[in-house]
Order: sequence, then C-alpha cells, then structure tokens
Amino acid sequence: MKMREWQLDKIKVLSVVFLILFFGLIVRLSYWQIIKGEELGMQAKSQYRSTQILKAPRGQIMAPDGSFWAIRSEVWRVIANPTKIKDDPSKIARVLSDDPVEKDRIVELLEKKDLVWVSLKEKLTLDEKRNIEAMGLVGISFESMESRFYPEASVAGQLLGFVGKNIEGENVGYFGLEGYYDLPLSGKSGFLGRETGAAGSPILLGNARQTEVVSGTELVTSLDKRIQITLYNKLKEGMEKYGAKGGSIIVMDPASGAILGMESYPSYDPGQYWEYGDLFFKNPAISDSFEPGSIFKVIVMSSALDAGVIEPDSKCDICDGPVKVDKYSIETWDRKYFPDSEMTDVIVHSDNVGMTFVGQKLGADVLYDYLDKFGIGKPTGIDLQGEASPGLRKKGTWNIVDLATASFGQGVATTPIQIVRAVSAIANDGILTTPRIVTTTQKEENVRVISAESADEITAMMAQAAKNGEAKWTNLRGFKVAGKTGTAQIPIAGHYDDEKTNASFIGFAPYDKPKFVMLVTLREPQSSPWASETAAPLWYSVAKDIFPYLGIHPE
Amino acid sequence: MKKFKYILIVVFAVFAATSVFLTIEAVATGSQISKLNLEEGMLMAKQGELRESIVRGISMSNLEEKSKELGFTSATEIVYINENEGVAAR
Repeated sequence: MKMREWQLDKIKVLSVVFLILFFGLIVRLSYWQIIKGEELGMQAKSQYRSTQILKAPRGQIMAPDGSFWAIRSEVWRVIANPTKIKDDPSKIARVLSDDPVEKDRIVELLEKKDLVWVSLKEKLTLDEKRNIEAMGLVGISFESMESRFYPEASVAGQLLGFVGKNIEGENVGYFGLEGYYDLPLSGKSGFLGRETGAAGSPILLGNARQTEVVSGTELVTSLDKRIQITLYNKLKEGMEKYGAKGGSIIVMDPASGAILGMESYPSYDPGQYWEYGDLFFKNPAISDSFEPGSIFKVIVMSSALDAGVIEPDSKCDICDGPVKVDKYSIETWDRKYFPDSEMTDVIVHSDNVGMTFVGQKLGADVLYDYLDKFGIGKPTGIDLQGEASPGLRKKGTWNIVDLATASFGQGVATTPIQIVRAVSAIANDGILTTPRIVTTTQKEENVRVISAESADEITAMMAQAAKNGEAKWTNLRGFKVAGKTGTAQIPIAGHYDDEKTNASFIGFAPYDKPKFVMLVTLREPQSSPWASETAAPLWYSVAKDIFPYLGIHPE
Repeated sequence: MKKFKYILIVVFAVFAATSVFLTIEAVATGSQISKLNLEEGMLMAKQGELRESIVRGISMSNLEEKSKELGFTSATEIVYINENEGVAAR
C-alpha cells in the first residue's frame, strides 16, 4: 500500500515536472515564433534564398563605320572581410599598392575587425585580379564593376561626355552624348531570386523569381573618326600656332543636319575624367555664347534678300564714310570706304556701314523674325547635354543702335552650333535642319527659312568673299568654297576690349552642292587679332584634308 | 488482397526511388548551373578584356601614332590631274 502511494507521489512529481517543462517549451516556442519569428525567418531566408541584381550592360557608342567611340569594359574591386583575414595586413597592402599613404589606408581598413566588408582597391584589370587571386589570400575576394573605355582618349572628349557615379554609387552619364542618352544607354537592371542549397548552388525545384535585363541601346553616331581626328590635330596645331586661349571646330552635313565632327580645345580624356577640372567638361561648341561678328552678316544679308528689301546689285548710298547712328559713329573695320558699293561688295569687304544700310532697310522687327526663323536665340535641339541658348533681345525693344550693331554681328549673343545651323540653312537651299549626332530613322521636320533663290544669291556673295575678301590669300585655288570671316571684339564690363577678339571663319563646299559646312572659332588669338590671319587659314588647312576624303575635287 | 499489397509496395518503391533519383539529379544540376554561371562570368570578363584590347589596337589615334613611328607621313600636297591630261611622258 505504501509502495502504491509512493508510486502515485512519484507520478505526481513527474507530471508537475513535465507540466513545467511543457509550459517552458510553450513559452520558449512562443518566444521564437512570435517575438523572434520575423528576425529568424529573415535569417533562414537569407540562408536558402539568394537574390541578385542583374546589371544591364551599358550601350556602346559607335562611329558610322562600325568602329567604337565608347565601349563597356569590366574592372574589379578588391574587397576584404577583416574578420577572416589570416595574412599580415601589411603584406596584403604591399601586394595592392606601392604608395605608402595608400598602404597605410589598406592596413587601417584590414585592422577593423568589427567590419565584414571593406573595399580595398578599385579598377583592377583582369590580369591584376588573377595575379592577386593566385596568391590565395584568405578573406580577400573580388567584385565586378562596369567601366567605360574610350579608345580615342581625348579626341571628341567633350562631345562624348563620361560615365561617373551618382551619390548612390550607380553609374550615370554626364555631359555630351553620355549625359543626353543616359537613360537608353543605361538599359534596365534585372533581378534574380532563387532558393539555394548549403553550398550556394541553386535548387531547381525551389521557388525562383526573375526579371529580365534590358541591355542599354547601342548608339550609332554620324561622327566620322577620320574627320574628328583631323579636327583634333589641326585645332591643337592651330591653337599653338596662333596662341589662342580656346577654340572649336564644327563640321556638319547641311542636308541632313548630321554632325560629322565637333572638336573643342582644350579637351579632356573621358576615361580619366577625374584628373581634369570641371571647366573641361563643358563643350564650348554648344555651351559658350559669343558675339559672332562678321560671320553674322551672311545671315542678316540673306534675310534682307529674302525679304526683298535689297537685291545683290542694290547700291549702298551711305557707304562713303562712317555713319552716325544715334550718338555712335559706325566705321568699317579697316576704315576704308566704298561709295555706292553693291551688296556683294558689302559682304566681300565685310563693310559694317554697308550692313548698317541693310539693317535699316530690313527694320528691327523683320530682322528679329528672320533671326528667330534661323534659330538664333533658341536651342538648336542638338542631342548633346549642356546646350546653352543665349536669348535675343525681346521683339519690339530694339532701338536703332541695336539694329545697326546686330546687322554686323555685335550686340547679339549666339553659340557656335547656332551659327553652323543657320549657315547650313543657306547651304541647304534655305531649309533649316536640326543638328544631330546620333543617326535616327525618325524624320525630322525641316523648315524653310529663306527661298532657294535668296540662298543662291547669298551663296554667290560668300563665294566672292572667299575668293576676293580679306582671307583670299589663304583660299584654296580651284575649290568651290563659299565663306566669310568674322572678327568680333570681346565685350567686357559694358565696353569692348581693345585688343582681345574672337576670330571665326564659316564656310561650306562645294558651294553648288555642299557636302559640309564648317565653322572655326578661336578665342583670343595672340599672333593676330584678325580672323583672316588665324581662323581662315585654319579653316582651309582642315578643308584641305577633308576635301579628298569627302571626294571634293577642284573645278 | 495479397496481390494488391505487392502492387502497392512496388508502386511505393518506384515512387520513392524516382523521388530520390530526381532530387539527386536536381541538386547535381543546380551545382552544374552554379559552375556554368561562374564560368559564364569568367568568359564574359575575358570577352570584355579581349574586346577592349582589340578596340585599343584598332583605335585610330593609336594607329596614327604607330604609323608615325614606322615612318609613314600624311601627304603634304595633293596634285589633281585632269582625265585628259597625260600623267607621264615617254
């Protein structure tokens, strides 16, 4: 009987123990399930699920001949897990760098044992990566990084732009084509999420989720490498020869608006953009505004011819001396005067008084309308990031002095690309096109600015100017060139600098069926202030190389 | 009834064997896919490297420099000849 009681007590004790254990288990399980459930679930997920962002390869930029202006390339980042490092940090630092400061930085990073991911070095080539891998350093691994390679280095640097990082560390295109076409070039990243085994291999029967990568678009440009390299070399030579502070050359096909070449100097290598200052990134050919000077006369003259206020043989009845406009006296650039000169002579002699006569005939409002139609004062719409557009003075606010100075290209601000576009309209029988770098199948809407007859008349005047104007000494005999020089004083603090000028030459060839329009601008040339002695010879020097390439022969 | 039992055992055995076989296959294929992914990554990197070296090699700026080193120069003067003109006298 005693035995039975003892057994019953034992059972009771055991029941209580089991009950306590059971409640303990319930409490513990509730803790894992309810309180820590989410955290542990995440940990478990991270063990059996792998997620991967599939980066879209950036599109390449190509020349019309299929060669490359910019390609994607791959470089590597060396990363370390300091908690797993077994080798001496200074030994690893020696492998990665020769620079003592850099070595100290790497050692410092490797000694941070509370971190599991540190970036030690970036932009390693595949060979460099292999060499380090062969050393078998524990705790060191590599991450792939997309990079950009520009095979022609500084050639077309400002036009191409570069790829840098944004604040989130993502690749972003800045300036030029890289900036303008950043979205289509970038493509769309994909995503891959799947279950993996203990070894990291995917489990095929598990759940998988995938979003496909959309690769970046390949851009085919009209930028001809041969022309572009000629522009780069010639501009560099010209800058040294004439001691200019800066310069740009633009070559455009007037019929299609395709930019065949565009170079500015000083330039930079987009593949090494971090070695240059911000000032280099801006493309002066589209971003710098300048007073065009006498090259603007062809636009004003063509407007007057089209408006019917003058004819090529109209006589200037105020050209016998300086002309007074309000309180200002307008003179010719060489103080030579040609009484009763015809309009062709006004262009050939680059006569400011003659152009004042034309401006007066045209009137401010009509001139404004024509300038607006030629695209002066508004963006050209070129597919490059960073285009500036200095505005025209508002219609109806022009006084007689504004009208007179604008007629010979002073007091108005333009960009080189605006001038090229406007003169291309003259070369293209009066039809204005939109300058484009990337070849597109989309049909652009072209607008007639002046009649074909007016375009022919101004072309004939420009041909005479090239043959008999102040730059005639540099003219290439036999070639059908229509051109005009422009020397503009530089406005500084409300007045014009006496010595500093911008020298330009705009022309196209052959004038009866133009294959290209080219503008050369030199900022503050030192050897001579005159365009006829700087920009014009540089124009012909470039043209001499381009003529045979484009199949242009002498008459 | 006994016959049905045998059939059930056989079906179960086949099912179990197939299931084990498929699981092994899936794991093996998963590991193979993982290896192939790794290999693809390496090949892509190599392709990128080769493409870069080809593009560097055919870069016009580089070719121009190389041609100068080899003694080639651009023509300084171009002579245009009329179709009707003789180019060499006897």
